[in-house]
Amino acid sequence: MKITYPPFGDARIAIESFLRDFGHEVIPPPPSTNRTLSIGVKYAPEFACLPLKITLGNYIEAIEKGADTILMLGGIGPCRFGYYAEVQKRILKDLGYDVEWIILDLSNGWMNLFKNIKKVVNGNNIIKVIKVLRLAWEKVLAIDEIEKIARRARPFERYKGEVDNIIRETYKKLDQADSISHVKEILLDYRETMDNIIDKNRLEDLVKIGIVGEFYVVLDHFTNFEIARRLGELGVLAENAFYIEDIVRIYIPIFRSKDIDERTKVALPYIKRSVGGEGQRTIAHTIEFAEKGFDGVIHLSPFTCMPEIVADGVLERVSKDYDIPVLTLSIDEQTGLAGVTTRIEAFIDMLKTKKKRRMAG
Amino acid sequence: MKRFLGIDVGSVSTDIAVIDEDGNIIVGLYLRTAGDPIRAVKDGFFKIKSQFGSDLKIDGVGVTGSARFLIGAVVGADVIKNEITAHAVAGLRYNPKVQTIIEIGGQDSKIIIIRDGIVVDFAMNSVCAAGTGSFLDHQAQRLGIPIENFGDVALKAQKPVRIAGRCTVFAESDMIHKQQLGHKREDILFGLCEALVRNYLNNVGRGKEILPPILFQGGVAANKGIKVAFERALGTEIIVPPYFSLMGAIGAGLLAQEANIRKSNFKGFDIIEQDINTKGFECRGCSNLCEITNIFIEGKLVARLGGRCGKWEDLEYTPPL
Repeated sequence: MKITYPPFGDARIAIESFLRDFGHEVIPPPPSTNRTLSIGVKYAPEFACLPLKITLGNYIEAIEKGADTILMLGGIGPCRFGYYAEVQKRILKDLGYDVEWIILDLSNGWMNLFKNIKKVVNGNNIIKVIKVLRLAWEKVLAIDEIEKIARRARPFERYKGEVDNIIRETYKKLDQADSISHVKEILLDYRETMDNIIDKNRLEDLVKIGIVGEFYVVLDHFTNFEIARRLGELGVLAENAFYIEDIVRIYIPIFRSKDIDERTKVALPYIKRSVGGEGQRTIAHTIEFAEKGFDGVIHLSPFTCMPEIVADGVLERVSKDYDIPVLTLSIDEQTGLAGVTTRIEAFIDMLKTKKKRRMAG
Repeated sequence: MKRFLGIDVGSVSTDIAVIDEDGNIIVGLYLRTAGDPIRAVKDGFFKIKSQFGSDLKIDGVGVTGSARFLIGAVVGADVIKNEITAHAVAGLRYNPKVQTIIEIGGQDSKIIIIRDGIVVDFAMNSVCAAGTGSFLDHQAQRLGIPIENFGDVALKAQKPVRIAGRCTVFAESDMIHKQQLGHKREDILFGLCEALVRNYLNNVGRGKEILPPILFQGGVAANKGIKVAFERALGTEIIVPPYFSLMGAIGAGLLAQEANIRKSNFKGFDIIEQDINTKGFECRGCSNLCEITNIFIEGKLVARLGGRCGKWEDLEYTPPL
């Protein structure tokens, strides 16, 4: 069994870690490129959301590399995401690819889920399973930490690409790390390197932008035009409303934490119940950033994503009520980079002028 | 007196302005980009050179528009800025009390909301051409009217026809339908103006508080029909600045002035005599597969654009084979 998985952002390192440690031969999908996108766009339904198209492209590229099994989540909801696996399965079948699917979902009963989990666990005993998952979890936390620190360092880079070069090297090591203490060591090193770049005295003066929206486009660098890097290079401190840990806590029941619902409560005056996906959370996160004193919010939404369309409609009011500028970027394969660059630059110019004026009193 | 050069290289037009430090316009050129921004800029420089000779001293250069990075590298820009900021700066200089700027160009349209002299909100059209100059260009062509006369003819309308303006394709079929019903040409033309304005206000202007004074900038502001349609829809006066089509370039020049440059990077108007070439390639250094553009002047590599990691910015860098 040569297994592959849907990658998003840097989560790939953690996913690979546990699959490998369970003893699977892992064929990671090659990093997303325009080719990946073209393949996905070609075979996916026109009105499917962008993440479905890109992951479809990822699968096909992994199959070309020899993968014969795909691990994916499925089920009912939280939005169209629940159907991704089923739809992609049929598309690949129609295209004549002979692959096995391991779809972890509850909609076909506990027995079915249990059977699939058993396939993933691959005959390892419970002690080993816990050990493997703990290491993968530690890697998730490390990846998030690396990303968070990078956001603070990029505005102070001494040369273009400095931070990303360091991250690349760190991820190479993290990928090989085989114990929790090793992960912690790598993280310690990384923190030290970054501390030399971050100018703490100037950190407070930076324009601060919060990024909210649908989880895949917020976390996948390829899909969101590497917005974090762009903002950093323009001298902006960009923080996400959530990182990989939060997404695991939201979507994987055994990791679920109560804080998630608590955090969403501020959105209730605007959206009373979940509208699927991150719709309601997008509102909550925007309010959260406004209350934390951020200068602006960038809202990322995959074109045709229903929950984010609902959020978009409400955001206008939130933006007025909380006096925080919001820039919504709708992303699909037609989105031109030039237009995105212009909007982001203009948005930052606007926030910088505002901030300057506010500080001048 | 110091002079500043502003260049706005858009999809349809390339505008060049030379301003002095009091904001007076010494040169104002409006040229067609015609798919070749370098050619267009060279044409403009040629005109400036034939008028002033080589001794027009420039103390700073600002470049804006969708080809700003390319042209910025070619001419040696001191400031490279997006169009929204450039238009806002120019609008504010023309009328410091301005609260709304409507800018409609060839391929995109924008709204900029200004309060107390700073930009507080803006929007741009996305994935749709219905509210832009191209829409008018296309329909004028269909009706066999030179785009320059569009506004004057439209203003003769007695009974404007309502045309569905949601989408250029639907607008066109609706317009043909109205023609077949025997409606007058001027009534249809003004109907198109109203359709564009409706579309602009519904898409770009959605949810924005449009307060006077309102400036109307960009190439489409030449069309008097659109100006009147805006005035009717908003119930207030619309101001078209005298250099409406050059506002982006003027703004770029003003930004260069504001930047307070000690010594400009400007390569001079003489670059028109030089051979400027670009050559693209795909970097295979990592999975990003960046499309790098090499810019050569007289065969010498002067700039590289498009890399994400910064290694190509070092012009000495040659990739390992």
